[in-house]
Amino acid sequence: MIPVLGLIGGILIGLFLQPEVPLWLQPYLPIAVIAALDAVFGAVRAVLDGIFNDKVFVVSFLANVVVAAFIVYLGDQLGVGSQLSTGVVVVLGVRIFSNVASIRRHLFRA
Amino acid sequence: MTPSTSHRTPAPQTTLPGRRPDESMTLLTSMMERPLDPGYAAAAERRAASGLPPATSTATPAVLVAVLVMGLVFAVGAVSLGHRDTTASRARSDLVSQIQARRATADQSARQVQGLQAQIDRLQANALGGQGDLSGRLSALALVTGSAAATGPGLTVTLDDARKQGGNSADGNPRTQAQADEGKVLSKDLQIVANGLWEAGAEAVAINGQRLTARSAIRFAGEAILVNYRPLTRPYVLTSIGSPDLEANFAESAGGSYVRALQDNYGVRVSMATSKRLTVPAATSLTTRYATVPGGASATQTGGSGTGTATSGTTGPTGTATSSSSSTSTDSSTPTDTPHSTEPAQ
Repeated sequence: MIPVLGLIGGILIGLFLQPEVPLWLQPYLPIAVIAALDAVFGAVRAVLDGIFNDKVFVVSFLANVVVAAFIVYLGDQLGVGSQLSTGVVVVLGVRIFSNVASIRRHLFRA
Repeated sequence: MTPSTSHRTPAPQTTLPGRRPDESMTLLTSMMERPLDPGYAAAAERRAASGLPPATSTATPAVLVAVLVMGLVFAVGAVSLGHRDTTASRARSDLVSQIQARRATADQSARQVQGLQAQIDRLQANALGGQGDLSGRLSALALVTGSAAATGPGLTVTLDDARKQGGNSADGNPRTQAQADEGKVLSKDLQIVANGLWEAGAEAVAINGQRLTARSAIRFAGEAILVNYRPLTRPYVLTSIGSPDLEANFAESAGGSYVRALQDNYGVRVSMATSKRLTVPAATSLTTRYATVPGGASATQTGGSGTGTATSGTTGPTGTATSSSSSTSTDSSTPTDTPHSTEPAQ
């Protein structure tokens, strides 16, 4: 319950404050969004599996964001930034989908 | 990658004897089969080994902070990426709004001019109250010079660019076109059609609502056609007032055959319609700054006798009506010759 409230609170803070994102940070924002989604769905699945661990959740989120941002940064330096961010999105997207499928099996037995 | 899938070092406790058939796709299988972070299982195992329940609480401060950050990332991402516009598109919309604002200003000024003109006409009529012949002459001259709107039977000629068979149409970017589009209506076409209308006996002509006067120019600026210094957009509608057989006269004139050639050879879409009642608006700018009437009569008066003789179609401009911009003005009041003093650079 509290994590859900925290998520909603974060969204509301973002919507109300509308912080200005500096230009150099903007290419990493979509990656951060996907990494956060992946961490959220992974955590939900872990809760349903009964093996949730707060430290793993936080660390995996931060590590995902950092590694994804690094890959995109490296791609920008090499001139293939958009391709590498596509790759990051694909990998994390596959994980999100299979985690969601697992959550669905837990919740609906289907 | 993982020891359980390698045939060289078969782990003794593996549940998979021998090679997996999809051994060469370890990257894909690990991605598809273990979407959950293996850290969760490892941590749960460790906690179970030390006698704790495998799952921790979901309401710890670390989780709360992380979840707040995630919500923030979602909201910020949605807000700042939703309407992301590039510098080019921003500059473009800036230019579009500037154009619209200036055009609105110009339209407003034109309306103001028309209002003031009506006021002048009213005051003139008042001043000339008693002298009926003078006011009649004045309105006749205003009609001929274009300083008053005219109505009557007439002909409407509509020209439009040819339907494109290729990709780059008239709406396409002209700068990317290697050479000028042949099916496009040029300013020269409008000049010839306008001259043909005068030749056929038209008494007043307007193109897309721009009244042709003794000072009107039909010319190119880039790829746009300007009449009275206003850019026009296709289709080009030439409204002319004249006798009911204007259409037949126009078809016989050089302009008519030119239009047919345009239609047949370049696919320019042309349509003509004779109407019983048409209206052409008044011209908005008819002032002269340098031309004066010889003999000392007041020259500031619009539609004075000097301009009257120049436009009544006798022999073209007299010496007094030389305007400062004569090199850019197509004198449409001389119907017999086809003056293209503004041959567009194509």
